[in-house]
Amino acid sequence: MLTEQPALHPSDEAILRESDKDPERFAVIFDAYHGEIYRYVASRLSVGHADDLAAETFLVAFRARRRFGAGGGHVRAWLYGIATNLIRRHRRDEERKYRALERAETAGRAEAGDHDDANRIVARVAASGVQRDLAAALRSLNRGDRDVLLLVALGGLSYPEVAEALGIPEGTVGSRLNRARKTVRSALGGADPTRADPTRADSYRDENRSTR
Amino acid sequence: MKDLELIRETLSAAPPSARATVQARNRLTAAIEGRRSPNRARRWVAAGAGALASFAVLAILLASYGERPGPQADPSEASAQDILLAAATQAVSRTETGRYWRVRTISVAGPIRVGEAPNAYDIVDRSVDERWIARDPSGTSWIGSRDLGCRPRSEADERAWRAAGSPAHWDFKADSESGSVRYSTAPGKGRLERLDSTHSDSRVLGIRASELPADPDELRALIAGSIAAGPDGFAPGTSGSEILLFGAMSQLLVEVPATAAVRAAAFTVLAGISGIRSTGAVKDDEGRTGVGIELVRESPDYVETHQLVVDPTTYLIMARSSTGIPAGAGEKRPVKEQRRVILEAGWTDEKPERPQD
Repeated sequence: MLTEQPALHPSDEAILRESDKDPERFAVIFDAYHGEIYRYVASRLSVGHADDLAAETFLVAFRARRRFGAGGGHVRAWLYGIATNLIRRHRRDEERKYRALERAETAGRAEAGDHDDANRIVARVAASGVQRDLAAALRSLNRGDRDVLLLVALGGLSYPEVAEALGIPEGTVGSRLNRARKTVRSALGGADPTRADPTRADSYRDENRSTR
Repeated sequence: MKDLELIRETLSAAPPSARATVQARNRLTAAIEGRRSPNRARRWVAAGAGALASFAVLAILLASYGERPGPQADPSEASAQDILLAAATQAVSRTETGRYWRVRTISVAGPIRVGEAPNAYDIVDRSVDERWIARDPSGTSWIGSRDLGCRPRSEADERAWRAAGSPAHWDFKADSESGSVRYSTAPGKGRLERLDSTHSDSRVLGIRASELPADPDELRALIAGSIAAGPDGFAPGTSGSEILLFGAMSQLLVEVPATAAVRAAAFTVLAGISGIRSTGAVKDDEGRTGVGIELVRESPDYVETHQLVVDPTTYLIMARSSTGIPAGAGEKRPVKEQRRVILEAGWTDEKPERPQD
């Protein structure tokens, strides 16, 4: 049975190799992973970003498919790596989203707007203090630590997969994840007096005013 | 592991809509079919890609147009500025009574590639959307919608569809709960739902209709400031900012219950956008003739066209559309297309009801 399985269900990696000669095969990879890559991007940025960046992830992967796999990697991890690279270009938007989550409680209700997807999430989670603390912690993380933490938390990637996705050693994955989780836990665990600083509750409209 | 669960819970987003899935798959299919030159493809990969990451993010070349001819008798020949300024003059005197700002539109989304190559063809997904935005901010607003079903995009697509035996539905594999999404030619049932008070319908870039200034310079400054503070951060006056300004003014004119004076200001702001031009007489998706007002943005990979169709006698907006087409010679099939025909937009005292057949 085991020996027959690859023939019945070819691995992602085998499909990717086939797509070198038969590009149409790549659609199988899209059908299998577009949904979860989309959710990953939408979770870190917004649905609006996900509409473009999830599609983009597969275009990048398709065009680079011949370069994949010399080292025997995993297609899923590779896709998350590409998506993470694309997300990095929108770091300001990601931080804006965490800021929106932080101020959710004081805002009272969602400020709706054209590029304000984060606010729908704000409304949904009903903004407890815990979520506000969590958002502040996520915003305070450096980029590398945040990527590792969110690949694990949102994508469910293992250490080796994160290492593969980001092109870093497994040991580095471990230390970054530890550091990130420590930051998150301490933010959730203790009261931080600086957090109550009202100047941190900057809103979209306030930023808007300050630019005029 | 509680911290990881909490992160998941807090950030977790919904899966993609059928439309998002199909549009993403379309873009991949276009790449698989090799619609882009190998040269271009290499450049994409080398750049770490992301060119289309967001239509709005790229370094942009705004197509520059020469001077347009001055005012002329036939509105279809007049410059975009003249048409828009005439519209501004008309807008001031429009009726302002009614409990609701009512907008009835037909939206067309796609294209969706179906069938097997070489007999593949494009279909578009159509729906009626109807909104009743209460004038009184504490009043209840309503949204009605009805799927009109899919149909072939062009006459050539229609021939291919007939040749394929006129199928009534198309299934796509998708990473969804059921494992697929279905597009059908059959219309759906009309629905009417309450719009919650925080809905963006009565706002432009987060700014309430009641807070929009009636002075064109102030309106432009306010919206440009909002764009600069937005996710793309385009500075006022840049081509990226102008494109978003065009979109915001289009939205204001069609969807938002702004006062007549604010609508007049919006037309004046549109007239001042650089690169805007008139394309003369055009037909909207319902076959009605109007004057096209267009703004084009070119990036290395895509040409984006944003268009408004203005009624040459009433100066009301008849249609809006945005289309993205791969740059360069060859394939001219849009990668992404969003078109809306405005059947009605104005104040009314009629009672909200669900869209009928």
